[in-house]
Amino acid sequence: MKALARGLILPATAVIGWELASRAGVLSLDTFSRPSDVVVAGAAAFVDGSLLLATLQTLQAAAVGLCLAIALGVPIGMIIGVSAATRLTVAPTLEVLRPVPPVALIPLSLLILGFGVSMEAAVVAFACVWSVMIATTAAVRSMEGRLAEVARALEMRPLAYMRKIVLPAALARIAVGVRVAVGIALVVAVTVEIVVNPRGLGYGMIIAQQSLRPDLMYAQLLWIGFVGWVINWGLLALDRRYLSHFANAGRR
Amino acid sequence: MTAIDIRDVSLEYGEGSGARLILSDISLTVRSGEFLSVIGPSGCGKTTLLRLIAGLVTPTRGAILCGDRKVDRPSRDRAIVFQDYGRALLPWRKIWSNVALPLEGGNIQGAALRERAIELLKVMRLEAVADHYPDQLSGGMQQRVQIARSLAQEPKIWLMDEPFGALDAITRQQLQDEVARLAAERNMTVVFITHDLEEAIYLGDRVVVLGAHPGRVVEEISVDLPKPRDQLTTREDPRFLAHRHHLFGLLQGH
Ligand SMILES: Nc1ncnc2c1ncn2[C@@H]1O[C@H](COP(=O)(O)OP(=O)(O)O)[C@@H](O)[C@H]1O
Ligand SMILES: [Mg+2]
Repeated sequence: MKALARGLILPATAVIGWELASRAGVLSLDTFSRPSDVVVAGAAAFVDGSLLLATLQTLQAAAVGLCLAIALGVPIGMIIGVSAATRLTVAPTLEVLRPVPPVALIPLSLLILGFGVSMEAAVVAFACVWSVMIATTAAVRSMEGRLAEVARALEMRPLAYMRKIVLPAALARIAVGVRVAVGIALVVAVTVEIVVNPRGLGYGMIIAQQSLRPDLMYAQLLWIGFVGWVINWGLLALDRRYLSHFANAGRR
Repeated sequence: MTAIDIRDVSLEYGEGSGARLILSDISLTVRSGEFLSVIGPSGCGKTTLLRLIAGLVTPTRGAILCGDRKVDRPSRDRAIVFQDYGRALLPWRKIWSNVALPLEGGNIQGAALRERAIELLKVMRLEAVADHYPDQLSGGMQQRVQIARSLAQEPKIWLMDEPFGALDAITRQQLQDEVARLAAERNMTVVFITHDLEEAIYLGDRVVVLGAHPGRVVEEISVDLPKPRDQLTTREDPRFLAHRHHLFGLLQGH
């Protein structure tokens, strides 16, 4: 409780200072709005449902993109991690693709998929797949070698080996990569909405800005930060709850 | 009948000018149902020899035959009990599920799988911890889990690499007797690596002494002590002591 109180000192001071500066006329209402107005605007958007709808739209695109990234990144990362031959074949191509800024893919995905959740999810997937794949490869490569021998001694088939040994042994570290990817997914989804896609929180913010509603824009900004924080907190809790026995599966 | 036939096996690690000869011209046969102890100084290649028999490593020269088949890869007929039990268990699986691992994909499924695993745990007196995770168990119990798991694959040949090296004396003696009993009951052929001379004699029908640099056979003795053996009387038997004297001298000399 004490730590919480301490942590709140800074934001509370900032909000009070912001409110006072605004009322004293130091900060222009057109750009900086005012905390009390922000609260009112946020509450109104919450009550009329527009904030929740936009949140769901953003989260939907982020989640679909993230799932795609996991569905691609984990198997590819596992194969690259296990097989040196595949690694040598695939790595150069991946190294060329990886530095491409995800945002640079917006025109292309717009061309192919048009406006909507698909194009947004595609850009998110491209942005997220790397951290998932790299975490998976690293996790697999650092797997306890003894476990591979246990599997060999049991004449385990490749698919069973991947499923029963490699994946669980790598799971805790894959989860770390996924957590990084979750943050990226949210950032990229909002970015795509701000840049082109007419849906979600990013679009809501750009509209609020263009229609001279800085109070609403700030409300959405703070809300996005809060949503991101809740998601990260939830993932950490899941991790602690379900992955504790996977955590020490790496090489010791 | 011969269960394991090791013919002029040499093993090098590395290639070209960097090659190191680890084992040199090892020739050994193990009879079916025999308990062979292998002893030697640390680093002489005991583990390497066991890995060769398991099929995890292939010899540079020579060949190993099990039955009439040449060993070129691991087989479920040969179970290995690794020295480092802590790393050989799957930390994300409960104890019973670790033991069930070799049974999966066979003809036992579902609830019967767990039942069979529990039966095996009973053999090692571990049924009480069936639903624990490996990191909740002591070293001795973890090693018993690994032994139970190796029994699940119903091996003909049981390969053990200093399985009790890291355990306290009392636990070690208990496990020695359990392993001896199981090997006899199930008529398994055992290759038992140890660096403990008394353990080698106590358990073995025969003891092979390896020398170092490169690893090679320097002595083979038959242990003419009645079975089943007893922690007190066997160890006080004059023949036990005579073997001990003889081998102790050899090990000191190398
Ligand atoms: N994979 C390997 N690559 C290279 N050298 C190895 C490898 N495994 C073991 N050695 C070397 O082989 C020798 C014998 O090792 P090992 O069989 O583990 O001995 P022991 O079990 O008798 O202590 C040691 O000098 C060790 O450094
Ligand atoms: Mg060894």
